[in-house]
Amino acid sequence: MINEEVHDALPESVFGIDLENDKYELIYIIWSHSNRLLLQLRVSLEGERPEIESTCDIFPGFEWHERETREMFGIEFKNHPDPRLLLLPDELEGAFPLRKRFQTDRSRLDETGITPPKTPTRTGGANQ
Amino acid sequence: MVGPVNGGVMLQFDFFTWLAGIPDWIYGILQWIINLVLGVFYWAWGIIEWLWAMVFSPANFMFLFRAVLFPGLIFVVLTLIWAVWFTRKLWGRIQDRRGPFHIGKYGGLQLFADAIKLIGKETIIPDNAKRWMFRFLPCLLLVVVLLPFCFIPWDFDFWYISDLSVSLVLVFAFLTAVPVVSLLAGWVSGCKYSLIGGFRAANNQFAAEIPMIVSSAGPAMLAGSLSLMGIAQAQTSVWFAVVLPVNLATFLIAAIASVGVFPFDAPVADSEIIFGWRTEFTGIYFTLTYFAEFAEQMLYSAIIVALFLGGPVGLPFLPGAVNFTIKFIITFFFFVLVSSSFQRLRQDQIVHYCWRYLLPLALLNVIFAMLAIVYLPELAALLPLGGP
Amino acid sequence: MSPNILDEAIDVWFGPQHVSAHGWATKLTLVGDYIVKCDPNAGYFHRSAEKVLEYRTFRQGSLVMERMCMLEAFLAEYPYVAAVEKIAELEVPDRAKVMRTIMMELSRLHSIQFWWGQFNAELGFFTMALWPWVDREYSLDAFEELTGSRHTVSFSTPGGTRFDFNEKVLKQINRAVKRFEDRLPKFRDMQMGSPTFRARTKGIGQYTAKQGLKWGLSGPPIKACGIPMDLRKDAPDSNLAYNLCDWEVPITENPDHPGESDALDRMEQRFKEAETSVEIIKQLLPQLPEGPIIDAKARAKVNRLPAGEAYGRVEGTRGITSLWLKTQDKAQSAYRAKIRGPCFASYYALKDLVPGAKFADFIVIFGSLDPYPGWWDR
Repeated sequence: MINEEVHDALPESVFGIDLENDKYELIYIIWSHSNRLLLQLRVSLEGERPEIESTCDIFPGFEWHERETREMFGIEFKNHPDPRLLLLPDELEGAFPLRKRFQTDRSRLDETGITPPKTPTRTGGANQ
Repeated sequence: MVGPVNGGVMLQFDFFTWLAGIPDWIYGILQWIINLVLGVFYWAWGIIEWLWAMVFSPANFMFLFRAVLFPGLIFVVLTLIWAVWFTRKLWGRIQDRRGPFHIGKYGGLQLFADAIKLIGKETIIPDNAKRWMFRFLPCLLLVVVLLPFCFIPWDFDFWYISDLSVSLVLVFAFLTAVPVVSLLAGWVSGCKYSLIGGFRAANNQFAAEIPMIVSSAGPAMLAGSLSLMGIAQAQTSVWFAVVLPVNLATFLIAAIASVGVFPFDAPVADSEIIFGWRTEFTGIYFTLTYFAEFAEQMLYSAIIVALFLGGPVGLPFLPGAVNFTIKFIITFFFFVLVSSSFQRLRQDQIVHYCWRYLLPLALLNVIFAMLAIVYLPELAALLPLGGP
Repeated sequence: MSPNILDEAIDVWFGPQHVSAHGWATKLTLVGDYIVKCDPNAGYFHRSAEKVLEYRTFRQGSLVMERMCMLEAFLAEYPYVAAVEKIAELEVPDRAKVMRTIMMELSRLHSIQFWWGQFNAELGFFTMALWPWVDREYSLDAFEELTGSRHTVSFSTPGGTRFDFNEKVLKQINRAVKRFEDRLPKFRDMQMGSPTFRARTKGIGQYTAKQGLKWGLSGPPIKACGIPMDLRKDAPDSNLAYNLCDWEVPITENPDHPGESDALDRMEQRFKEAETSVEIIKQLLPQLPEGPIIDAKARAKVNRLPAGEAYGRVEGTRGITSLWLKTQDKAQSAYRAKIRGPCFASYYALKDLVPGAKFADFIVIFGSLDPYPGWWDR
């Protein structure tokens, strides 16, 4: 429907957010210049590996965004034409780095001036 | 006692005569040995005498001097080093920068430093490469490019190395071998980018050699001779650049295409195919291919001077070789200037331009020159063709 | 010849070790001289910036952003600053708004000069590659005088700017602008009038605006098709001063193929963008108001932000550059920061745009879309 109504819709980005406890949000951002309209679609997903239909047939520009979201968060996009890793090296396949439970090396966190959180974000998340 | 004794014949043998003959025999052997040694010695001496005569007899010594020192090998190599320095400084100034200036006054010793550094670098031969051909081809390239310098008429009377009656054809035969060596070098490097570069070098030859040879047919026809010396001598009254200006331009452009410098740089397009057929050469091999490119440019400049600009003919108070060198420097300057003002053409565009524009222009000018000789007797009188 | 021409295809990695491929690799399938398939590979330059932003304070985050693309440093760091200002509800003083706009346009100019030189170097035109780079030194002098650093400038900060203009900075900016203005006509003629350049770029990498939008392209690749899509006019940011001056969105219309753009159009488009930037700078410089350069309460507010979501966008040199920020209550750093770089779409577009072109045209197509691996790998 977007395709017919808004003829110059620009697929800006698709990305995920990890709200903890296996809840995810997926945000689609589409911009139309002729209508000066910024559209933000928010989808809530649940589960260890949530699934959703891919939008690549409507907006080809989302293909790489969905690939990146899949490798970073583990959200499966059904019927995606090219579900390979985009940015990550092969060792991190299945590690889903942008999830909160993926701990990075924070040994120098005090140099930034950030006080580390009192409670760890999730137990059982050793460096993967 | 003589005579048959017991059925046999008794020889006359006197022991003491035999004993007295031994010193003679020994003396004979000694004489033979001494003759042998003396014979070897005279033979060696004969060779040394022959070599001495070969090198140091006045005619031969001067020939060797010319062949090795000036205008031969050492002179060509030093000019090559100067040419690379000149190119780099000129490119720098055109591009709004200075070129090398740290080492030596005005960067003069930079090239020596670069050559020493490059020769000392590790030569890496890829696994896929054919080893012996990989090592051999850059040397062959440099030799093939340096050889035609023998036939360049630096001066009429004395300061030239050799002159054949068909030296123009021989020089072109050498120059035609160069892109073939490039193609082979691209193939033996065992890398896809080198292969593509080698194909493009062959394509460049296909595009550019024919306009070049047609352009050089003009001066050959006007001079009535196929030797570079003959063509240069035919220009004592008028330079061929006056009669055949378009041919000069087409020869220059076709020469740039044949060498493979900008804008016909596609065989070594360093933003598309890394370094074309030169990609995998490192260390000493890179030095050889690098200098071979500049040697080829120098060779084409020298041929242009001989064919179109009169060779040693020029200012009468200067020796012919100095005239030639001055014109050579000016031609080389234009070579570098033209090649830095354009960007790279795509390979099929190179073929398109050479065949569509260069070849007809070259042919037209040759035909025009032929008609001018027939119908303009004053012009013909200037040239050795038309009359006494 | 085999009946299936793909049997003779060879795979060439236009790989990470290539003169023109600084930080990316593409697998090309060639048949003869023609590319039949193009498979862009990303990830050679991935620095996990989005995860890093979750562990940096709100004043440090813009430094991470500017390192995504240091050529347009002022433009690259702005989306983060804008998003933080929206969540924290900061008021930016007028002087800071005008200074930011001037430096962002100068940064755009610098990025275009850099790209111009690089594109020419990829075409083999080293003379025309170095001439814009000499002018670029003047812009870099201005950056250095203002912030002390040529590329990693860290100028904008939530609430205003960190450095102030003084006499010397104004003099350098004037010098940079004047030099570019003086030399642009001569360069433009030499570049656009060169027949070899036109032969190399005419008709190469042509696509319609609709196709470009579908792929996600924005900025000069779309403006070159004749569509005035520019965030500076479409979604004007209240913390910048674009509305204070009178300027038109630069577009390029080619009568040969209306609604489409080829590499030559994109080159022309970037000249026009540079001219527009110069015009904006010249109009804004006399309008520089006096006053503070940063919101007085910024330091206190930006330490811990309330919960919120904001989307900061800017019209970068290459297209829409944006950052989507989510914070939790009293957080010191971002909860989720999503960076959207314009070259992400340019690199993706190669997959459909390149097949059918000759091998030598690949770098022309990609160069005309202005690639920078920092934006797609982050």
